[in-house]
Amino acid sequence: MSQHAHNDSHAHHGHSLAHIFLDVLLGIFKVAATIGLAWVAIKYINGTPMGGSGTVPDYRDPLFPGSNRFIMWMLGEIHLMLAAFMLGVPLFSIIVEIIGWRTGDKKFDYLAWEFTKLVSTASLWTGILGGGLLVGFFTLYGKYSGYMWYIFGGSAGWYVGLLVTAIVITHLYFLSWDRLTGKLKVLHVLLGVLTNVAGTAIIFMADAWIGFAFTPAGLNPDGTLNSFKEAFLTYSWNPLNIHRLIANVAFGGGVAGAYAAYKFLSASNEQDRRFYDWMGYIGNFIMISAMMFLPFAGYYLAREIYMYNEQMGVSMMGGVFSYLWIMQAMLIGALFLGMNFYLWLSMGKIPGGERYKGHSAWLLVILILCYAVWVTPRSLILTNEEIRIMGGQFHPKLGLLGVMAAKITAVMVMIWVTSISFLFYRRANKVPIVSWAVMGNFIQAFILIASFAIIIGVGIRGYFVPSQVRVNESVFQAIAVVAAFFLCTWVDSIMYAGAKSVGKIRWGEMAGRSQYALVFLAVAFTWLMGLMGYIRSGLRQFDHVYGVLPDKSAGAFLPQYGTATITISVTVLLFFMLIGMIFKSGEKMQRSKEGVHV
Amino acid sequence: MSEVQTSSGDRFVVLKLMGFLLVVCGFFTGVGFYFPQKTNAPPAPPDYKKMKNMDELVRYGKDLAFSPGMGCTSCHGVGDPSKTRCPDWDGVGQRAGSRKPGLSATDYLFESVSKPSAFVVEGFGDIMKVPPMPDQRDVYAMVSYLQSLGGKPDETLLEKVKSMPAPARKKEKPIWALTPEEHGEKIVKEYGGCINCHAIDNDDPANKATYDPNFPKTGPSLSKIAQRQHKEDGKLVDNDAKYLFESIREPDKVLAKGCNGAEDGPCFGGVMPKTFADPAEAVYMSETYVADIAAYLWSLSGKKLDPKKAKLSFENPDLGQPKPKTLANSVKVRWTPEAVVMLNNNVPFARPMIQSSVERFARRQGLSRVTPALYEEARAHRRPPFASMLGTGKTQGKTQGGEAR
Repeated sequence: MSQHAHNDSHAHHGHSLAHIFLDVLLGIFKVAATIGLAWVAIKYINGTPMGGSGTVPDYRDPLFPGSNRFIMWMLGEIHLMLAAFMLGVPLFSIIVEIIGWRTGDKKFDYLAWEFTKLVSTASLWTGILGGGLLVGFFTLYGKYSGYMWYIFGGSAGWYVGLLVTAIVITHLYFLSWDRLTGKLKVLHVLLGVLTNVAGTAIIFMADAWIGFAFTPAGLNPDGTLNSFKEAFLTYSWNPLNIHRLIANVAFGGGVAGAYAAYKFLSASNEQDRRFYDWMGYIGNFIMISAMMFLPFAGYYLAREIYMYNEQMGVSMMGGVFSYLWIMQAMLIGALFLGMNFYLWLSMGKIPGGERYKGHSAWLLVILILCYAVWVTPRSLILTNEEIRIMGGQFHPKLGLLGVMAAKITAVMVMIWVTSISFLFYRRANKVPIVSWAVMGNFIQAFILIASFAIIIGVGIRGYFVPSQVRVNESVFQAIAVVAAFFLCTWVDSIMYAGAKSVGKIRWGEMAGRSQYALVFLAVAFTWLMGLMGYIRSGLRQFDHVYGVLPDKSAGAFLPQYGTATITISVTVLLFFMLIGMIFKSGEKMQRSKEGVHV
Repeated sequence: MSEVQTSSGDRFVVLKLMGFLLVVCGFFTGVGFYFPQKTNAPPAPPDYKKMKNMDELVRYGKDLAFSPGMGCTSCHGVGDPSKTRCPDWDGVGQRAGSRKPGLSATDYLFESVSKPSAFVVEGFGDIMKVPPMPDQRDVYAMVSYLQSLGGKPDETLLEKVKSMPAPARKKEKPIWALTPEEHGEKIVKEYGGCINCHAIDNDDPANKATYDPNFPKTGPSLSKIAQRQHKEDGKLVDNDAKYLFESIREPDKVLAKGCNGAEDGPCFGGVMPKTFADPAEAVYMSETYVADIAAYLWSLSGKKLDPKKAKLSFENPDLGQPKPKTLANSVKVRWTPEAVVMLNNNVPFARPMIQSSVERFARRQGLSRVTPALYEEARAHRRPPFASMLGTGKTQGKTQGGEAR
């Protein structure tokens, strides 16, 4: 395999110790400078140090009504997206590195390095936007930031410490890649693990602030703090942690897949095409793996919201945000369609994959039916005359599909279909040599049909039992799907042990539209994050801290759906422009592809 | 192998991808515009200028009169025999015109609400020492409501409130910027209701307005609490922070002297709530509330009390706070029929597990009977499997609402 030429002195033989030390110092300096500059800006504008003493104005006049809140919305959202990427990618890149280390396959090591390179180059802009967010909060929203500082200011030092620790470890992890090899590789893997520990701690801390804003606790009736522990460990803290960790992995996989798609489409040699085709597949695989668990995490979060305050839950699902959940359904359905479409297209490059091509038809039909159920609203947008003709607000037949019993069932079936697509992909170029292969196939078919029956059966039963029972029993649908996937994969792994190969996967021979599918997945997922972030933030309605600190600013209103979607789209576009710039700047960093065979 | 080429193809790929991005985002944005477009704005305070009829004014006046923040219904009722501290409002609209010679019903009620000490109904004390309402229009709204009780509201009030300007808002220090002493003062004088029965009769002119020496308060004065003594094991000892904390937690445990205006006047139990330390009670006050009240009362004698240093705590064993006794395993926990119905709503194979978890919860509370309420509470308190690793996910002290201004 030819050497991939590089035009930079980085990384070919590893960075020198002095270089590493200086880069780490530079990383610490960037964090300190960002926070320092933010503090100076706040002090200059407010005339008082961070936290103030009640002399800072509650709000500042916006350029136009609501402009301050849109600025903060977009700043916060882009910062969150970059941070989610930075914290999500190391979660799976360390696993990829460990696979490479244990198997000796250099392509995994190179892939992990590529992933980490993306993270390393994104850190500066994440910090800049975080600093901007800080300045925005403390200057534009003095009342809100003063209150939050009162509650959480004591822990700010810990957060800064975590940031510095994370930056140091991440820099060390990335820069020492080629130095800590051989027997020292275990140290490098340890650094990767520590990177994840620090990143996870950062998420958990930030989640405490966000959870407090919409499910506050630990307060006296007048809003003064009674217990910091309760204010930190709120109803939504745990669910947010879990949901975000999983979503960050899926998001990181998606964006990494989009990066690979761009590199694939712009590749000028076969080695790059093969490598980035494979990287795109890995990104998609990571996204699918995490997406399978995301609905459960989201359900847990929604359940805790209902437990905290039923009125908030009802507003979320059936009130002012109800139509946005139709958008969410549309996006998630599109994501599942996109993931499956990519897998089916990938079968085209696998010799023997044509045996399973016919299955994509019925899988597609099921997916489309589930998608239709998933996006069917309970209440329709009707005129009075139409309501009169229909005999009510709800369609006599289709209205039944608008309830949660149908929707949970639909999404479980979509996950079920995706796991089948993945199983076909996994065995596409293999022929089993075990004598019980036919029986093995029957066993797997039985498992899948049984899980399908459980999903549908529990779904139908959901129409006839109280909602609390339905909610509890939906856990069995989830167990059925997950268990079916793991059991079938296990049977597959035994059945195809030592299997005959029909032919090697022809990496790099992918239709261009498959790469657009990868990009679509990244864009749709990012858009979904923006949408869900808006809903989570908007649950507070007209309060900064729900039920405690009312929002009396000019921007204290829930915008029209169209305004919200424009804001989210602009945010997503800005994010991808920024991430594109970041990835482009990261292309300067190159590494030898010697021994990297895909 | 060929060299790396920075080919012009890169630019086209980037352009194509940007175009694709725009199309996808544009599509989602378009879907957003398909739904009904409606802006949701927060409920605005009443706009008196836009009120259409007297019913709106009366309705708002009633809301004000019954709002917890105003505190009127602590002492006044409408046909409520339990409210004996102040005159009942039932029929006040009918008798207001003849209460005070020379005053019309409207003027009498206006004076009663804005300057209660100007005329005190016979048989009642001048105990309504509250700051004047900042917005006179709100006073007229309350007047119109009171007039509706047994009488007819004054129709001219609607035009009057429409023509009056809104008062200028005074900027107050936010609640979280208050010192413990300032916060304690706010609780004592505003939402704690303490000054209804206790005087703060020191030399501060601001405090003098809160009491009338001619009408002594029911409870002992709070001004010199840090300088007084109490009996402990038959001996007189100085009041300390621990005593103060205990007095608030269990007011009837040690009865002080000084009630009803007499220096050595005896005080009787059963007047104060049994305890302020029980979260299940409506009068619950958290430890931080009590600590800040203590800091304020101590400051009235010129002394400084640091609640954190004093380590005042409801759970402090020195204060003898009993913990609920766990029920022994030998005692059977019984279920009410309604609770059994709730248990049977679950799938059969899950019922034994749920039953044992609810019964475990009941035993921890020292209870031997599972009611529907206890069942709900037990289910709400169950922890997710990894709670001990990642945090409770649920908290004991949910905020009870209220507003931090």
